[in-house]
Amino acid sequence: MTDVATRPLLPGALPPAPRPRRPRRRPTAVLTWFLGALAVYVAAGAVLVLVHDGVMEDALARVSAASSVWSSSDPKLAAIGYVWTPLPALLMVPFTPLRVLWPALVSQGYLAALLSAVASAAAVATTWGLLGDLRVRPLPRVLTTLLFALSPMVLLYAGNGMTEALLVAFLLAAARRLLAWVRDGETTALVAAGLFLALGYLARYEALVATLGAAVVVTVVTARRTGTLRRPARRRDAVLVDVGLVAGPPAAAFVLWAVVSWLVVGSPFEQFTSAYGNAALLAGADAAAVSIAVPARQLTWLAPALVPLLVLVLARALWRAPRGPALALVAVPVALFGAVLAFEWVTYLSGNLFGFLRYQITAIPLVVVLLGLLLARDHDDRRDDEPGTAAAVLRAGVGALVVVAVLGAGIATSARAMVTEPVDATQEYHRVAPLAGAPTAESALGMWASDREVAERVDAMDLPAASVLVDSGSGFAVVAASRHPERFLITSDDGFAAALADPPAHGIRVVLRSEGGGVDAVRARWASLGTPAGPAWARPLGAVAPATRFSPTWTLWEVSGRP
Amino acid sequence: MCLVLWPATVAATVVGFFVLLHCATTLHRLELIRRAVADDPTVTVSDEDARAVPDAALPHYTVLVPAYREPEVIARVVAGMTALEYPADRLEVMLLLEADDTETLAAARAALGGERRGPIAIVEVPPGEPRTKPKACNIGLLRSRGQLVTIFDAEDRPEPLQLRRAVVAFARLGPRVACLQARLSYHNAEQNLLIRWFTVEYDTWFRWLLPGLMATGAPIPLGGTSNHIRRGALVAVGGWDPWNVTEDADLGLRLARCGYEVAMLGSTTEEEANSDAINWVKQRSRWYKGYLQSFAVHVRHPVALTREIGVRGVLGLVLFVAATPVLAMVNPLFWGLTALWILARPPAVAAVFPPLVYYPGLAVWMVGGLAAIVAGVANARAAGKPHLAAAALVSPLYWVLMSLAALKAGVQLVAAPSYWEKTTHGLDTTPEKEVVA
Repeated sequence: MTDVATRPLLPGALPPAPRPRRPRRRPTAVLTWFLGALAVYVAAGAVLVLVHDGVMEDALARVSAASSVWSSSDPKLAAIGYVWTPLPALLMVPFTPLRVLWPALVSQGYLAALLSAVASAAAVATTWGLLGDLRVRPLPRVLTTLLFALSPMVLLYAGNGMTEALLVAFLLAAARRLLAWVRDGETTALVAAGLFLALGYLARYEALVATLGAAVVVTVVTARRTGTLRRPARRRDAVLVDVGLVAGPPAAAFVLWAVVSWLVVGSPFEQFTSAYGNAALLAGADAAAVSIAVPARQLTWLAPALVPLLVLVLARALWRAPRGPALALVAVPVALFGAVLAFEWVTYLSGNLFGFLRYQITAIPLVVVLLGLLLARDHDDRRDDEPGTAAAVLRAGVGALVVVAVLGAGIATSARAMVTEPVDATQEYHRVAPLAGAPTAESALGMWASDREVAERVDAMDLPAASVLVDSGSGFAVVAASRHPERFLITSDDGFAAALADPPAHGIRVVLRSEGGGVDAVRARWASLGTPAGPAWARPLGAVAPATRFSPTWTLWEVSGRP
Repeated sequence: MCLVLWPATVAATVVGFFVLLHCATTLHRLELIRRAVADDPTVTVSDEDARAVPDAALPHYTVLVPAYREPEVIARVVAGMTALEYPADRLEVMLLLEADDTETLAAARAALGGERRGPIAIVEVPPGEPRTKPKACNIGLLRSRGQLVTIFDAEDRPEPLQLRRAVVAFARLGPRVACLQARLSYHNAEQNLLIRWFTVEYDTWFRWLLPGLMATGAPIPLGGTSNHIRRGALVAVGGWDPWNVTEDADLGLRLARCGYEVAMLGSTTEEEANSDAINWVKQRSRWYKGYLQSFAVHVRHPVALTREIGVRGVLGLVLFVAATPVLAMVNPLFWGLTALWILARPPAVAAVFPPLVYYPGLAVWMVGGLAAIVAGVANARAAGKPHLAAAALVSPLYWVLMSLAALKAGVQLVAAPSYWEKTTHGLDTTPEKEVVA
């Protein structure tokens, strides 16, 4: 430092010169994983959705709603619907006008598959980064990321357009930030975790439960972390602020969405109260015998090694010198993913949720993060950093074996379930088993063919706008497949209720009624169509037979004016 | 003409422009925070390193302390400057007092027991227009001999090792760095809600936004005090602009245009925050007016400006220096329109918010507002002041005050561009505390 006094101070203005730039680390590895996974998922989605017409019901319904924002007879953002949280549909809204160039994006729901592909690819890239944060050795790191990316459930839900992919991606991102926060107390990591959980909630309700889990972890960690805040009042403030940072954004998202729903459709929680929500669907479904054996069996298919792995990771944490932080790290994935699992179990067992296999998909990222914690190296651990030493090779080899055993077992059991379990893996079985060539499988592939036929018939009629009455809760596939979506009057359009009550008085020319399946406002109001007690204005135009066991029968009715 | 022919289109275009500007500034600030966290350019010098430099190797240091009509804080200046750990024979502290400000002069002479005591001396500034802080500083600069120059306000409590840290940091960073900006914070943060807001804002400013600007290579609007500058650079850029009411921000821009760099110094000067809302609005209106002045001065030759600080620099200048007061000015209009829409739903409001304007506007209103609140809360926590988080949570009320100040600044920019809104200090009622780094 002694040269400071003698150093000549600047003689004058320096000539303008390019500023030296800090070399920025290029995230090539992360990008490679993202793009690689994306390519695989986009292809998988194309096979499932474009070739085999296998998009899932909810996914197609969201694409149809997102498309209606532009193309309905009453275009407005509110058409995205309020049964689900809005993010998936909102993300698709800017792209639905591309249906003009490529109809299959909307008519077959491929846009949803592209969204789930992007989300799953992001989850894969996050997994790679998370394992890097934990300093997992290269070989087990590559294997864990790869086997996660290719596990059947992840692959299927990356390609079928469902929001499970978004939930997994956001929860993994939140877990990565929360782990970083537990490690070094960086406030911004906590903020990021909170934002990911908020986005998670806007994609799937379950993220709210994960937020509760995260809040518990944050409370305990901050309360036990001494830091520089010595006064008890300050430490109490710190706990409140930290919990606020992680839980505040999801809570704000929750309130905001409830308020928006309330303003637009008059009820804050459509998922629970509306005719299309979960409760109504449950009431309309056959009450199968609820048994704890069902979720337990499903969990063992998805994550057969979960319990022994958890025991191992806990044992390792207890054996670590600063036991508290080590246990806190384990608590992060257990709280985030475990809370969602626990929620699905409790709601299923109490008869408030279907027992779908996909509801337990968070077991897979849970296993992946636990594996990462099992194979993590401490940041001051320099013993075997020399790559190529016998010890390093041995440790990497053992780690790789553990990864292959744990994730490989899950891949085998979940793949088997998808082709052999028509009841407890019903949604997966009816789409995967036919593809795998299982001979007796009842296929749900091609289930949208009848809806497309309805759309074709209506399109051929050359009708004015808003003249085809259909409940988009049951007829979303028809509207999505139509070349003239503006001709339909759908549930979100102003005037739907009035037209439903009295079609001839409101310019309706054709009424579409589904004869089975879920809720249909038209069927509920006009069950009498075609019966002697029915209205005189209706003239039958025939029916369209269901393409598969999973498709509804459609009947078409012409409105012939008041007698 | 267009306004007469297509009033709705013109109104929608204007509204759309501001919505776009709002989107851009929100994204820009989030990017600044991200960069500040990802690669914080703040230079930290440990106590040991700061003290390790032998006295003989330290450069001569000039501390300028301009004061005007504040006799009540002069005693504190003397205490604060005496606390600086710097050899007296290499330090000159200049109390820059207006020659006709007899009250303050008398107070200073009483505190010093004459015209000077140790390194602290009174420098009388001849009366005359413009009667501004930068003019006083220029006179101080002319009479000083320090190789490094810094400014403190009369009520500042600089961290005692700050000068030594600056010396070490300059030596480490090399000659291109001409200026180090120390962090400013408030020592009376407990006093009332206004000061809690102000403290959270300042901490966000100096811990995230300014370091973010540095990391992105944009020109830095310097803070009013605790900027440490190499004399050569200061002379080369022509000292301070005596007509500018935020000469600090202007100086930062001129340093950038001349190819110098500014770095953040990890040392904190505790200032006294305005505890009175009227006083606060006056001070803030002067800042906003000065920002607009500085922006107007520098965009007079846009091509030269772009050549000197680059497109990214100009972008930073527009989104940070110009957009801050402008958006504060138009915010009340948007709040009013929102309230009007909720209450009465007049078609005229719908006409100026076509969907292409409405939805981005709605998004930036919700996301931007929430992001600003979260940033404040997070910064309070990161700065080790979790007790200020509650104030950050209700900071939208603070934005109302900002808008008042911005509107006042807009009017004054036209009516009295160089009028200096004097901030009254000495309102601090909290007991003296130990100054911390």
